[in-house]
Amino acid sequence: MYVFLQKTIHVRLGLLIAFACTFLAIGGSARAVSQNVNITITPDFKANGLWSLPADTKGVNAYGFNEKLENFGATGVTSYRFRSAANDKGPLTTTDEASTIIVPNTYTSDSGIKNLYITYDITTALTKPVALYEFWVAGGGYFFSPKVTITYPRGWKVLSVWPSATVTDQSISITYPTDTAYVSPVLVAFTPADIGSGNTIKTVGRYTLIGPVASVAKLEAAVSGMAFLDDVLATSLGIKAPEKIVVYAADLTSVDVGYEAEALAAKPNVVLYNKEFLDKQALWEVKSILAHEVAHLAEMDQRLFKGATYIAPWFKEGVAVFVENQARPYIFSNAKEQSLADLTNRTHMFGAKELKNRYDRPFDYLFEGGVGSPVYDAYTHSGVLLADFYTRLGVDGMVKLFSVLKGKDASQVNPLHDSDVLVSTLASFTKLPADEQMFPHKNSKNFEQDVIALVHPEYSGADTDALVQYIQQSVPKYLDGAVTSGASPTPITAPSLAPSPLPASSPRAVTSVAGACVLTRTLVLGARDSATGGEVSKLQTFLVKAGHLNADLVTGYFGNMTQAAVRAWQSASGIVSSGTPATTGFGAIGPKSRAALASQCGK
Amino acid sequence: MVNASERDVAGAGQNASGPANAYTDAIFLKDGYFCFWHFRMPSTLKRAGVIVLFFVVLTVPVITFGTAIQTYAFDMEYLNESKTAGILRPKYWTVTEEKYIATNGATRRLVVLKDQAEQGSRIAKYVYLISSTPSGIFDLPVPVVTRVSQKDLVNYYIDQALRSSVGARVISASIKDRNGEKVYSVEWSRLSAGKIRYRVFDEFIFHGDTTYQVHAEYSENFPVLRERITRIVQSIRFIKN
Repeated sequence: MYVFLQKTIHVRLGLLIAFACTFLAIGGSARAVSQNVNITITPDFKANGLWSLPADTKGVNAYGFNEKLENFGATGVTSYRFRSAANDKGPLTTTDEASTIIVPNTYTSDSGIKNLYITYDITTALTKPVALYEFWVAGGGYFFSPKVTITYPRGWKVLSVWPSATVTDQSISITYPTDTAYVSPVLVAFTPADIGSGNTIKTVGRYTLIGPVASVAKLEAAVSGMAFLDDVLATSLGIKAPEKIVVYAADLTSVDVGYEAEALAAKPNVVLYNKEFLDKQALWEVKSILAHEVAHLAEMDQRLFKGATYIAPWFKEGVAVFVENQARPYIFSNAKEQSLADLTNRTHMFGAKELKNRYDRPFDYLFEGGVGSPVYDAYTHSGVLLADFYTRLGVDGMVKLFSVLKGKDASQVNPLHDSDVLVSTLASFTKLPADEQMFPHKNSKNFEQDVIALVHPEYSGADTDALVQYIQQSVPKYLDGAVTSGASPTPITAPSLAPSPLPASSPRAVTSVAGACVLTRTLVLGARDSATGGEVSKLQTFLVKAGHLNADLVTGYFGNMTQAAVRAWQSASGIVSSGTPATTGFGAIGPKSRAALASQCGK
Repeated sequence: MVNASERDVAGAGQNASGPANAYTDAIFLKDGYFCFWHFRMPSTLKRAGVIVLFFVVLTVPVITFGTAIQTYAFDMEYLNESKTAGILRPKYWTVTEEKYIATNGATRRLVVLKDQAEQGSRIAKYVYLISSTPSGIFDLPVPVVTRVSQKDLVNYYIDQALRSSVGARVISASIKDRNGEKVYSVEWSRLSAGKIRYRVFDEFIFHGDTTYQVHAEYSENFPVLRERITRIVQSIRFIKN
């Protein structure tokens, strides 16, 4: 829901209401044809911007200017003092809606007024490694913001800027895109010259990791094994991850971003990770969350939805969950770890039976949540919708979908309207009725087979054995008083969910191509060795030999990268080069492909 | 879904768990609790009956037991839809009851008690009574709950709660005998939206084939709520097996 701030909260959507209230307090759209906004932030910050309105914008003259400098978890005071607001005619009266929001009360645009000046003072007291400066204007969401300049204190380092900017030692010059369907905040992440004792900054590949030493070490372990993410994004959404990503492990409890969030993404390339969750999560869980948030960064950076999901968060989250799930084969170190994660509901994926049961509940457009309809389930359901779209139309369909959505306009006040736009756009590709668009294969007689690419495998006896063992041996004995600590207890750090490390088993080594010529089953996205007698691995081994798949990707799971390799091989072999698995077999292994494969393999 | 209010206590001809006007509510004092019993009564006697019952409920306890009882004179026992268990409901608290299928396929019955004066972010206290199979309560597969002890199931619940909460701390965790029932109880606290620290109570009772969970929270900004909340949490009674 933080779309208007270009942030996305991983779990908690608590500020949707806050935004709605803010928006309503600020009022509707504006009538002015142009205006200048001049912001002065002293003594350490200065920002100057020029905002103008489209000529056809109608409505009430009411704008909100929201500025804040967030220093995560700081105990020091960052104070804001509103000084004045004025337009061409003179001073304006204002309403201070919150400590950082100013609403001019009497601005009248139809009398030749074109300029509006706002002045703030900010006294900074930065005590934590990262500060996030944010400035945005609300008043219908149609501001052009062609120029913004900010000066910042000497010695500070700029970690991230949105929109694209020229950064020098003490100043940032920002150029806004001309596309203004987004409400476009300025977001700048700084780190002070002194990041504080106990904190560290480390660069690992594209990642800049910041936070307490132990947290950075854990993040380093996670990102070091995430080279797959580029391929996953390319083959699932057809987009790239940002070239640079800042991950900051912070105490988010004092930050006004819905602090039950495990992590959130801020434009263009910052992941804020709640340190408390980071500390108590297993490595696979950290990778999974990072994959989710980087997917948000990528979709935000490339503006996949323009305004169409302004307050329809289910779609954005569905995209991120879809990517997170596409990365599953590369996130878990072994099948046991994965099944344990699924069985304890720590993943965003249902089993087939769970999905069917979920269909008994209405789809939650706004993720309001509740005991019977938790937000976590809503995220998972949204991921199913995107995965279903992908299985029908592949990455090409995804690219076309986002191309269309970029051209959609949003009501920006009516979530149902936005959701209707999204559903109708999806349906224009899939030709499905709306009900089946939101509840894929709902009325199928072969439900469990039809949703196999959308769900995790049903648990086996060995899986339940592992879970019983975990509960009995790894879960602390709270009821035995082992971890209670009286009236003023120390916080409990829950144990890692991951079982004892097992020998690395994935990806599997390619030792032989013998037998790779004999495939007897139809193989589609989502197929696994366990259900196909090992034929997925055979197919992958062949594709490696044929030069269409990296040897590291022989996993026994028919994921999006395998599908991409199959398509490449099918095209190169003249079997089929367009369509979908369902229509032409493009991306699936059917009789014709099996015959071609056997023929080529013998050569 | 049923919405009941304190009007039901006054015997206004509406019954929280049955069709409107199908029964007349009579209120008896039983073991210190006010209960509903349901029986048919000639309509001509309704008003007289209600008046008499009002007199009994509102005056006799005060006369007999003094102001200590008066403190709780507005509490009642709410019977959930299945008529298997009841829990105290303070006057001016609303009740919402629903039944749904959890994602793991278990049927869950949920009774939500909230102060009707509190809305949205102003909610400072609430109590849930949830009943289901052990699989439905702990969101685990049946082959797992059948092999894990009740104590370890509750340990697992606590662990999961701590994983998904911010600033969570266990205050106490224990197993008690209450009215012949073994009660698994944990008191903990967490930070919530709005930067409020909530005190949380979870009690689990494995009663026959059904497991009951009472989950209650109140804002630690209002420590005076503790007495009322704990009284509600501990008031669960089983009407039939």
